[in-house]
Amino acid sequence: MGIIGFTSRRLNEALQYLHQYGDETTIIAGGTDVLVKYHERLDELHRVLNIWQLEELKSIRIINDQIEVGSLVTHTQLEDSTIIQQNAPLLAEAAGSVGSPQIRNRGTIGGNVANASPAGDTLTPLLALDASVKFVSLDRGEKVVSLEEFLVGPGRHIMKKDELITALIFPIPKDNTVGAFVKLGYRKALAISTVNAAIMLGLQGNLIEDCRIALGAVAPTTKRAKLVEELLQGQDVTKSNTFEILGQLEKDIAPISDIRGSQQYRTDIARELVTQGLQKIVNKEVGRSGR
Amino acid sequence: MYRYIRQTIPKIDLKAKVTGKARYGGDIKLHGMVYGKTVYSKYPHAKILNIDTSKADNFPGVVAVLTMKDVMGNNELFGGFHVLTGDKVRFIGDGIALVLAKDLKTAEKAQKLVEVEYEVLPSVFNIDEALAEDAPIIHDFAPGNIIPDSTHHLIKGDLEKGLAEADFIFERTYQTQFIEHAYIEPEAVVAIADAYEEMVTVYGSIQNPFSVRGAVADALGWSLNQVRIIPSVIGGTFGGKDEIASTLSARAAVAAVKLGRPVKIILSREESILESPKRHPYRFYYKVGVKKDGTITAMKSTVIAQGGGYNNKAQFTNWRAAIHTSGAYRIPNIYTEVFGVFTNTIHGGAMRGFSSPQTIFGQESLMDELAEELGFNPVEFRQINALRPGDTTPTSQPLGPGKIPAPLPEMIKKVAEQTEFVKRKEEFSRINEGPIKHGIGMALAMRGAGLGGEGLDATGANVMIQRDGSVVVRTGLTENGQGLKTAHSQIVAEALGISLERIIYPNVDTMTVPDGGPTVASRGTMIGGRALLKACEEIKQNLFKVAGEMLDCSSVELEIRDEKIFSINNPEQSLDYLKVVDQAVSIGVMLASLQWFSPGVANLDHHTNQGEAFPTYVWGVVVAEVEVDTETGKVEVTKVVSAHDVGTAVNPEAIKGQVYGGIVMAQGMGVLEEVEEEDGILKSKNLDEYLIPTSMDMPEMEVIIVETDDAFGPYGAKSIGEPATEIPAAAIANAITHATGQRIRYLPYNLERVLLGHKLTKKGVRP
Repeated sequence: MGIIGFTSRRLNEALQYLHQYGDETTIIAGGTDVLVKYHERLDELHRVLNIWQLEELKSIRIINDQIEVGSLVTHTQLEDSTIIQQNAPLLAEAAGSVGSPQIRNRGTIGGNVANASPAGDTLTPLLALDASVKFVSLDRGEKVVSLEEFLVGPGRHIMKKDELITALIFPIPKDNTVGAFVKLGYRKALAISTVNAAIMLGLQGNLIEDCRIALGAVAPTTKRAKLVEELLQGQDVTKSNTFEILGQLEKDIAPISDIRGSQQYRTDIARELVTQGLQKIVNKEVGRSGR
Repeated sequence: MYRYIRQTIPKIDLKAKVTGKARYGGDIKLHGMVYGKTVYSKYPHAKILNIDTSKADNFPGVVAVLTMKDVMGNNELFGGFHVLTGDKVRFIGDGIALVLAKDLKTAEKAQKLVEVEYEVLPSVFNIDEALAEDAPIIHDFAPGNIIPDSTHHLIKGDLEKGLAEADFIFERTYQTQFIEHAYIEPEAVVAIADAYEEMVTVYGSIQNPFSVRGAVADALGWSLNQVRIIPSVIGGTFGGKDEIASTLSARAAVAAVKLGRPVKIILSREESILESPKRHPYRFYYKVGVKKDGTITAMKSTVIAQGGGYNNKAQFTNWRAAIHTSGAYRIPNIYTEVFGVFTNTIHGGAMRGFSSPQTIFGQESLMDELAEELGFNPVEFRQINALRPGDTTPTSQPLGPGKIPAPLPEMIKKVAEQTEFVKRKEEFSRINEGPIKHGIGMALAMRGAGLGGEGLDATGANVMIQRDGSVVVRTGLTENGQGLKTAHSQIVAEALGISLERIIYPNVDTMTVPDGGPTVASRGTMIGGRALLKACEEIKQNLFKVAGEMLDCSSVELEIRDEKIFSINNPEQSLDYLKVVDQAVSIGVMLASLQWFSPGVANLDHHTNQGEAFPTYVWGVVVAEVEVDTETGKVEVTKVVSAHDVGTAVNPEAIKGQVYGGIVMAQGMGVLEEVEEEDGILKSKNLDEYLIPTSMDMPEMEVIIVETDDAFGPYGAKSIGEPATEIPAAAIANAITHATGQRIRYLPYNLERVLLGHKLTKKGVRP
C-alpha cells in the first residue's frame, strides 16, 4: 500500500491515467479540499493524480459570445481578471470572498465545482451566470452539461471517475443584465458560508425581463430558486411587491441545521440575502464593470 | 527618572520567536524517542468492562500499550483526573490507553486497534440536568453532582434590610458558554528517565511546572525531588496548559520510566480541543434592590459554574467569582453564593480572567438593565454606584488615599468624555432607522490582583552576578508569551543599575528554584517582581560594601546608575560596575541572592469573605461600539476603548499588546465563540468549526493606561494580563443591546441569537 502519486504535464496524459486507474484515483489540483478531507489520514488515499501543472487549463478566454474559464484557474485569478471583473463581477466578488489569500492562491474553480459543496462560493454565481461544465474522458470525448444538471448532491456530481473537468463556460451577460453576490458567514475571513446567494437580472428599465437566483448552503446542492425566479419575471425591481415575492423562497429551498446555522435561521437568511442582493442592484452598488 | 521602568523595551525573546529559533515542546526530538497516542473514550459516561490491547500490541512498530495497570504510583491526580482511566469514563476526553510506537503515524494507526468494551451510563450534560433530583451521579465523592469545596459566599451587611429599603426589586438571569483557549501551540511534552538516578525530566508546553511536578511524582509514586520539570518555549496558554499538562506529563513520565526511553506526546488540534480545559460556563441569578435615585441598596446572587467530567479549578474560580459577582459598586448589603456542578462534558478550568469575564458579563448586563429601567444613561448609573475613595470594597477593605487606590469615578468620567459616550448613544438612537443599527456600550470592573485569599501567594527569585558582570535571573514563574521575562529583566536592570543586555533569563527548572507557585492570576510581574527586588537589594548591598571600601566612603551613601557606582554626596567619586564585581570576586564576596516574597496569609473570614481578600485591586473601564445588521444578525465590532489602572506601567507597549490581544479574545467570547457539544460529543472539533476572530474582524482599538500610586507591587506595578480580557465582552454585549433594543442574556451574541433572540439546534429551541 501507500500513496502512488502521478503528476501529469499534458491533458492527454492525465486522461490516459484516469482511463487506466480512474476508479482508484483521487484528483488533486490546488489541494485545498483534498488535503482537508484527508487531514490526518492521507495514507487512506491510494492513487493521486496531480493536475496542477496542466498549463492548458489555466486561462480565462472569450470565445465568440462565451467566456471559458479553465478549470485550474484559481480564485485569485478570478478575482483579478479583467474579463471576469468586466463581464461577471459577481463571480470575481465571490472568488475574493473565499477563505484566505493562501486558499485563494491554491483553490481552483474546477476544484470548487468538482467538490460540489452545497456552500461552494463560486457555484452560486456560476449558476446565476447559467454556466456549463465541460469535462472530458479519453474514450468518450468531451461533454458539456449545465452546472445545474452536473450537481446532484452534497459532494456529488454526474461525472465518472475517468473524466476530468477542463472548463466552466458561460454566455457573456447581455448589456442590460446586472448581477450581485451576497454571502453571510460567522466572520470576515476563513468562514464557510452559512448562506450565500447570487443574482443575475436582465432589466428593461426597472422591469425584470430575465432573472436567475442561485442559493448556497440551503439545500443538498447549490440551487436555483426557480419558483421565485418565475414570479419575479415582469416585476418592477424597485417596487415593494417584488420583495414580497421573496417570501415564497422557502418553497425553493430545503436547508438543514448544522454548526453554521439552523434550518429556521437559514430560511430567514436566504430571503434576507436575496433582498440585500436585489437592493444592491437597485442602489447600483454593483455593475457590469464595478464590484 | 527611571532608566528601564516605564519604558518600552522590545520583548527579550522576540528575536528567537520571529526568526524561528525558539524551541517549542513539539520541536524536541531525541535519540530512541517513542511517540505516545492516547486512546480516548467513545462515550461521555460509561463503565469500562474490558480493554483489549492485543491487536495494538502486535502491530509492527508498536513498543508498548499502557493502561491503568501500568501506572506505578497513584493513578488519580488532583481534581479526580486519571493518568489513564480504567473503570469508568466521565467525558469523551477521558484517556483510556496510551499507545507507544516508533513514530507518530504508527502510534495513530495502532491507537485505532485498541478495543474497549463499555456499558453506557445515563449522563448529565448541563447545569439543570446535573442538579435534577434523580440525576445520575458522576463521582461517588460528589453527591448531587456538586463539586466539593466549590461553594463560596460573600456576605456583607444585611440583605433583607437592604431589599426592604429599595423602591424597586429586579430579578435577572444570565448565562455564559464554554470557551476554548485556542492557543497557537497544541500541547506537547517529552519525558526522559534519568540514566543515573531514579529521576525523570519532563520538557514541554507547561504553564505551571510545580503543579505538573506534583502530578508526575504522584503518578510515579516518587517524591518531588525525583522529578524535574523544564517548560519549553510556550506558544500561548492563557491558563490552559495546566491540568492537561499534568495529565500528559504524568502519562509520558510513566511510559518513559517503564520503557527506559524518551517518550513524546504531542496533541493534534482536535485532541487539544477534546482533552484540554475550557472557560467555565457560569449562570447568574440576580435579585437586586434599587432606589428611585439610582442607588443600589442590596444584591443577592446565586451563581452556578458548570465544571464538566472532572474538576481542577472550580473551587478557586468560584472563590474569585464570589468576591467579584457584585462588581465594582458601593452596595452596602450583599449576599452571594457560588457553587459548581459536574457534568458529562468537557471541563472548565483556568482561562484568562478566571471567572471574571463571566461575572462581568452578568453584572454589567445587569447594570445596563437597571439604568434603562430607572431612566438613567449607563454612565450616570455607574457613576452613582461606582466605588470611590472612602468606600469599602464588597469584602470591606477600605479604599482611598494611603489605602487601596480607587480611581474608578475618574476613569469612568475620562473614558465617557474621550468616547463622547452619552452624545454618541443619543446620536445612534436617533439615526438607527434602517436595518444597520449602531450601538455603544460600557462595562467596568475591579479585579483583585494576585492570588489573594484563593491560596497562599509566595514566590522566589534567584539573581546571580557572574565574575564577568553578566547576570543570571531565575524564578519559578513561566514566560507564556505575556512578556514576563522582559518585565522581570527590566525590574532587575533598574534595581541593579546595570544594562539589560547583561541579563540571561532561562526557562524555569524546578531543580534550581524553590516552588514559586503557578504563573496565574496576573501575579507574575507583581509578586515575582517583589522577590526580584529583594534579591537585587541584597546583591547591591554587597556591591556597595566592596565599593565603599574601594572609595573609602560609607556604603550607605552609594548609588548605582548606568553601571557607575557613585557617592550621592560626591558623584565625582565613582567606580565602574565591572571593577567592583572584579574586586568582590577577588575578595570572596558573594554577588548572588535567593529571595522570597509573600504578602502573607490573607486576613479573611472564609465564611463571609469579609477581610483582606486581595492585597490590592486594579480597575478597568471599557467602551465598545458596534454595527448590527438587524436583518442577518451580523455584528461588526467597530471600536473598543479600554482603560486600565496598572499602578506603574513597567512596559507601556507590552501593556498595549496585552490589551489588544485581550480585546480580541473578548470579542470572540462576545460575538463568536462557543464550544458546542451534542449529548456530550464535541461538535466544534477543530478551528474550522470553532471560529475565533481573524485579523479581518478586529475593531479599531485604543488603550488608555491609567497609573495610580499603589505601594504594593514592585515600583508600584500591578496586573494587566487578565484585566485586559475580562471586560470587553460585556461592553460589546451592551453595545449590541443598545443597537437592537433587545437584551440577550446568554453569550455569545452570535448571528442567530442577535437575529432570533435565541439559539436553535437540531434538537429544537434551547437557550
